[in-house]
Amino acid sequence: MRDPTERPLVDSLRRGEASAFDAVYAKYRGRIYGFLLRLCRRPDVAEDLFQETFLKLARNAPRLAEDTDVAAWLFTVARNAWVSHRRWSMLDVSRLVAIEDDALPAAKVPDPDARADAARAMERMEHAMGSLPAASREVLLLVGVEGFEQEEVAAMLGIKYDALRQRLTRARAQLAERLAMVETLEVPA
Amino acid sequence: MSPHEQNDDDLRALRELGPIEPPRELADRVRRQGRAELEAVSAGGWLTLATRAWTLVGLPAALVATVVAYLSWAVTSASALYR
Repeated sequence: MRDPTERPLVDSLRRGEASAFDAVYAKYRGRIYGFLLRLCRRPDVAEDLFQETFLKLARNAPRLAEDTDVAAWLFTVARNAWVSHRRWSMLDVSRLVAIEDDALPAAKVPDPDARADAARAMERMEHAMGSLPAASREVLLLVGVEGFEQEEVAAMLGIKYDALRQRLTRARAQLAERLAMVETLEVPA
Repeated sequence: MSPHEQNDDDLRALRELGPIEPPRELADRVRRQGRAELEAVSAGGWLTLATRAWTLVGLPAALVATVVAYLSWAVTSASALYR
């Protein structure tokens, strides 16, 4: 999924050009914020992690490798920031329940048009995604929503390709199950 | 059929979810801070390099030279006492 047109952008970033940062930011801010919001399901946390991700890009820009895949770099940093946040949150007992409680409402996303079938399907998908365990949500967001190759996602998560395949299969089964559950609940009595 | 082509309808449906724009205020703040950080790290490039060179080369070399000078003085002085 490496974009060859990004090579000059990476060169400019390495030289510290603010316009390159703006270009990368404009291209990826929606994807990174959406990824983090769907992953952690708390807008306040997503905002902190979003800020952390892009400030890390700015701080590390001069040290980026020439062949850096910007998308993979950003998603890896965002995902690691979330993992780190979760680890620290686990130590804070008062927040433990909030993180693990799958009964929490899905994160606020732009209101879909309730009259449109497509919008309803997306709403169902957002709810089903929001009810999945974090590990499943993470892999579906990277492979499904963001369209990364599975090999790339395995590298991002620091796991073997086979393990990723297993995790993805399990996540897809869980998603299908949750979607069926949501649809059943919507059928009028 | 490659592993990537197996019944990918559910993954394609996920693709429809698309990005979510961050709140305007957050987006503007992060952009401003990012530009400032980038400017700071770029401007401080030579200073960072000099600091790293001093820490990795200059300081250890100065320490080694001091220790060698002290030891040779101590040996010379001690042997002078016995003469």
